[in-house]
Amino acid sequence: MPMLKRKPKTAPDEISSGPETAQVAPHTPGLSGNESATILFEGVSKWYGDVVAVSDVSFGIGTGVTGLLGPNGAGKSTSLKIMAGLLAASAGNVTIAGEPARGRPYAYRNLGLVAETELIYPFLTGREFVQLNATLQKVPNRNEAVQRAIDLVEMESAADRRVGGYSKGMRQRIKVAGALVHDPGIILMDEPLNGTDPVQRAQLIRLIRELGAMGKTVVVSSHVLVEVERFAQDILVIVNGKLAAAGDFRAIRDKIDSHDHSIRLRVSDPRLFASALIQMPSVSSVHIDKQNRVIAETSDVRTFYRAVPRAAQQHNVRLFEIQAADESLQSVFSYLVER
Amino acid sequence: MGPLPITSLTIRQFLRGKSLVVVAGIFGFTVLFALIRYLPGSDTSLRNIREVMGEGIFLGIFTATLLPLGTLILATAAFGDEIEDRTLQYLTLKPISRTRIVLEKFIAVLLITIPIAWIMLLLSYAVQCWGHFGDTDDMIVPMLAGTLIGVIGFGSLFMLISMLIQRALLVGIFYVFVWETTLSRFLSGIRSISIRHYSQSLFVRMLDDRRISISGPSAEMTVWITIAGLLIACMALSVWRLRSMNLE
Repeated sequence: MPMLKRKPKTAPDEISSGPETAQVAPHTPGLSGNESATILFEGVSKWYGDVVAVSDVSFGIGTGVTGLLGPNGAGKSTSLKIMAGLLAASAGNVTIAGEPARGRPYAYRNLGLVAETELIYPFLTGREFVQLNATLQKVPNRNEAVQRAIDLVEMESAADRRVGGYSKGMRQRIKVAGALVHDPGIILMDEPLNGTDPVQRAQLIRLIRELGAMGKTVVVSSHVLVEVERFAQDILVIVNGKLAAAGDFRAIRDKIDSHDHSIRLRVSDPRLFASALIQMPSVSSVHIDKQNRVIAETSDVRTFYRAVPRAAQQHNVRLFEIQAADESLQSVFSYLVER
Repeated sequence: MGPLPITSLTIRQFLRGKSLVVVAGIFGFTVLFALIRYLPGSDTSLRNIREVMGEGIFLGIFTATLLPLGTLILATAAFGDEIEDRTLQYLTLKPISRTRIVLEKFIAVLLITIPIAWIMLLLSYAVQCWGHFGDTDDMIVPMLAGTLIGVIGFGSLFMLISMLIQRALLVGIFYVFVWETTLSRFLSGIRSISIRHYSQSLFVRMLDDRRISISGPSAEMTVWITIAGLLIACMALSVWRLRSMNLE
């Protein structure tokens, strides 16, 4: 497969979003004007009986890291499986490097998938699992390639232990090693950071960024907005099986940020802190829920996050927890779809 | 991993699970039946020993019920466990032909099932024919050949079934007891489309003993051609199924 040059990043005003924005930006969502797609979805739908998992989705993905963002059950995994050829689309066309994704085993020489499934053959050691992948990929200099892949995910110390005894984070990393052992140009990762601890997470994020910088086409799915921000400049937002937005991360994030956010705070003195929060210009409303937690509505979430610790300090209130009340981000994604 | 990595992987899957013990236990029932000879009052004449081994144990119990049951467990596990555990994608997302995946899986089924079946059969033969080996050793090769045919036939059919339906084990058990054990024994029309018939036919044709026989045995060549045809058809359908399968 020919390697494509790194694409120029889309300017904020070039955001394409769902069917409406397609009229504004006539090019394929996810791609800048003259960029060719490594992965191309054209009117792809997937349904199971009456349930529609992916609905008439079109986008293109070029080189670099692209985040596939959406709440749980949005259709991200289904889209990745269709990309990898594991699932047949009910309608539409999917091509990888210009060829249909499904029914062409030789195309897997240049593709690696880190699947969502946690299960790996538990009786194999981590090294044997990577060796199996290398053998089936017919990798030359197999032992060197296996060692390189294991080193890449920093699993040398546990490589000769059985996978059955691995933690979830270790299983994720050895799956990544297995998917990278043949040095593919296209890498699909389904929630690769799930189950990883902060150190493992930082390592994997660094690896994902390095792969993108090497000119590979990397697609990483996640339902965590701030996670995607750390490795992807381009994102595709999928909600309820539809493409809600596509383009530069910052531009989409700004759109998301301008939408009202509901933030939940657990503090030592909810009433005092609620009265402090309502004084902030970025806060539109505050109330206390039945669990005695403060729920604040803000249209400027970044300013709000910066101001909260200061306010807690000023009022001598202990701050135990701060998180988005809409944890699934469903409401934020819905905003993107509905606007 | 060797020259057949998928076969090696599948054999390791079999060896770690309980299914191997279950299969050995199923085939081992033949040894229990052979032990009946040592009960007080049993007829220990050479003629009776041969008939019990050939008709009672091999034709009556082993090929009719135990062989299909034991083969069913491993043949359905070869792909069934991978589909259930969602690990099959580690094999299918590789630049290797679907035919190779199916063939390597099937080879693993044969490499594990045949030795266990043969060992248990020889063990029951040793128990049953103890002291009469010189007069009964002509039964050994026909029994092993009949077993081989049975494992190939049942193995390819059950592996295909496991790729077509989710509850392959239950369907297989139903098939074994209703079709192979019951209907094919009593209905002559069904007999010729049961794998048991060909397994038994090869045994009785090779043994060529008038006292140990079945109704209307097929010729040896017919047996080989039929089982080869079944094998090719099942393998081709399995490859087609693997190509068209959606892996969630």
